[in-house]
Amino acid sequence: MFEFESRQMESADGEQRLELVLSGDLSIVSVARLKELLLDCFSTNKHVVMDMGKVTSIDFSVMQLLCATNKYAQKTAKCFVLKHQCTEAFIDEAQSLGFLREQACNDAEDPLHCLWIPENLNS
Amino acid sequence: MQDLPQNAFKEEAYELLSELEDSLLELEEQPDDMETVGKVFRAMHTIKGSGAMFGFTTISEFTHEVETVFDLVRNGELPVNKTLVDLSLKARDHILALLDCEESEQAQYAEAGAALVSRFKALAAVAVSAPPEPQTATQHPETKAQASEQITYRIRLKPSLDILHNGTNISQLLDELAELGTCRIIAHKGKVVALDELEPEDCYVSWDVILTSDCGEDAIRDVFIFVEDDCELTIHAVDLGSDEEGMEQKRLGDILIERGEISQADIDKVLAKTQRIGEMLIDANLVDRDQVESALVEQQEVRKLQAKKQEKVQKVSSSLRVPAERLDELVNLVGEMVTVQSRLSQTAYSRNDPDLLSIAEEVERLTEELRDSTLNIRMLPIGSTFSKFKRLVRDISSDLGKEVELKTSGAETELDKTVIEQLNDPLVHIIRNSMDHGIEMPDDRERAGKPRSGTVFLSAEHSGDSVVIEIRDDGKGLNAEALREKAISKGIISADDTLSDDESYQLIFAAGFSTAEKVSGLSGRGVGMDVVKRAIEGLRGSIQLESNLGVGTTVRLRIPLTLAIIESLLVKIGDHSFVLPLSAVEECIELTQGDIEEAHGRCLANVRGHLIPYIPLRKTFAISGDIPAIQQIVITQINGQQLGFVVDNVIGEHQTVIKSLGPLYRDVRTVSGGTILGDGSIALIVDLVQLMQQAALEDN
Repeated sequence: MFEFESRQMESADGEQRLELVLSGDLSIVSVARLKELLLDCFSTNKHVVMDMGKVTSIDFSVMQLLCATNKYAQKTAKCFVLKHQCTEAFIDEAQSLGFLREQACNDAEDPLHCLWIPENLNS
Repeated sequence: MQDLPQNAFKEEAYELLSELEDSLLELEEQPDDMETVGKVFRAMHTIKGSGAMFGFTTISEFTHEVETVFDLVRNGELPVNKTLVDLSLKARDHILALLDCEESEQAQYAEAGAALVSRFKALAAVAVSAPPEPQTATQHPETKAQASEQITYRIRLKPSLDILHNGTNISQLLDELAELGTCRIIAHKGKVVALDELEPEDCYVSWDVILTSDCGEDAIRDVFIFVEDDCELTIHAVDLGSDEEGMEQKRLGDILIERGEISQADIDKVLAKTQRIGEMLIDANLVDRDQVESALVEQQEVRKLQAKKQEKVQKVSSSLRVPAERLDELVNLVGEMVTVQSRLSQTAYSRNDPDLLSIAEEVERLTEELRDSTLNIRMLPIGSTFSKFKRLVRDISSDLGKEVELKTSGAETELDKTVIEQLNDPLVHIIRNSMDHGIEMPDDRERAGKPRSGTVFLSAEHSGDSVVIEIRDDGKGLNAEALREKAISKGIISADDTLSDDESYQLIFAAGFSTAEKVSGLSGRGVGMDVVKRAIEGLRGSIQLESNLGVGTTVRLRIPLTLAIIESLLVKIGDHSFVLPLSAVEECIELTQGDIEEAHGRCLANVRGHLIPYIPLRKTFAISGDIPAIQQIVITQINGQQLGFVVDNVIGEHQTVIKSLGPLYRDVRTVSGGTILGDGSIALIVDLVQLMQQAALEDN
């Protein structure tokens, strides 16, 4: 099971964003709960940053959920960013599943925001 | 008959068995070395496969059992230990015995074979019943993948939407697949819907896996055995295209068409644009980037595999197996050529025709190159012989209850194939002697302040046109006094004889001399070193012995590089020509009547203050005629001693093609062969060692 903490942040230019700090194991057991949490976050925020730094394990269903979240953000003209996802748990799983990419998927609304390209992997 | 496939198999099998022995001994030292495990497996696999193909059924069936066990080792299901190495060495010997005998004689080995098979089966059974050990870091998936032919597979996995509901762990499946070989995984995420539409426990992703492995399709299917009803799985071996030289790599478009992603028409439509084909197809919305990426990965893998195949083909074509008899024939022909060339040169000089001289010089140059190249073909690294001794030392140590390590150096030193073959037995005997008589029992060594384990050093190095082979042990050394007493008791020397330590050591080369208190099966009955000495001298080599009591013994062999053509010194006595091996010659000096008188009739020459004994060859070979006022002494060094040979004239260096004198002259010890000179006359090759021994006997 995972736990989370959310905090409202404001950038220097006044832009508001919600930062969601997740911790613990992310797996199919809690993927439905994570989906609801994310939808809830997007319902009130245009910009959601998900901090993965304290996530100890992650499985395919959650990886897929992240992809779906990114698609949703682009479809609804919102912004979804992952932070601190360059952990062993995250990178190993992404690599095992063949998710990492040199270039973004061509059906992405904005290829620059693909979660799986090197430019967007933040340590 | 040499070219019969059965003979080709035998030759290959002998080589493989030799490599197998080396690998097994390496494995005993480094049991975790999976590369060596792979070598053992491949050797067994090849012997089994080729054996079956060429009708060696018994060998093939037997080898299959050994191969099975090494497959378990390869998979980490069975550890390498002494029992396995011992058993595998016995299996190797058994295969060798089967190879050496006629098919009709194989029945005599059936019982031994069956016993070995039972033991291998028992080992395999243990492995099957035991839980597999976790993979170690050295058990890289590629190790197995390199075992036989590598195939690149395109594996497409389309799981059903609800595959995750039953607890399937997709990444575990993909990890298992990755363990089969070199693997690239591309997830197709195009069907993943946006978060609001997503059923989070459903699976929207499909995968392309490009796997290069030797595992076979069944092993791949086995990975998905429990989910085969929950996914669409297609496995295709990727066609590598033609093996012909200049073949073209498969293009990305070809791969996508082959996969059914697009049609040729789609390709043609977008080809008009200047973008790269992948980008064009993506822009045209005919494929998505994942599909292009997957196809690119496949293209890369195929290229890698093709490059490897090409490299393999080049390696194969860079060597050619030629029967030894054909090489012998070639060397003989080159020998004839050298003789004819010598004749041509002599004729050209006598006619003093500039054109003819120029041609003769050119032929001489080419003949020398041809001779060197031909002799080089027969040169083999002595390491092939050295590696056999590892096994010998291992087995003898075990028989004697001693701990002995064999250390070798200079394995790359090359010698003529025939010389190497003839060196085997003498070396075996010397090493056996070192271990039996030289190296002490572990407790004795410990008491003497030495490590429990003794060492036999075997080294080879080039020295001029010879190779010096040293066999050195750190055992108890030779006891000069004990040797002397024994020689007296055997009647080899008299009690009045005073011998230096070095002279006493040489007694072990005397016939019938044995230093062992008990005759053992290992070092024979004291005839060994005598036989060894004769064998080495038969190779026109020499043997020297050094020893330090309590420290060890060194046996040093000096062997000519080749037995076919030697560099020699041509000399004349009266009208007769003789050749002396140049490798033994140190210098030539004059011998005048005054010198002879000064020595008061003794055959001693004063060379810069040193008295060197000499043998007048005119007298030895009973050649009549006038002795010239100034004769020549050819000073040589044989077995560490200087000795002169008096001749009338020294003509100069000569390339001597050695011809046997034939069975009629087999008892003539002082001449080791003959050669044909440029003018068609014959020169005898003087056996310096025999002459020295004969002179010593006459002195006594």
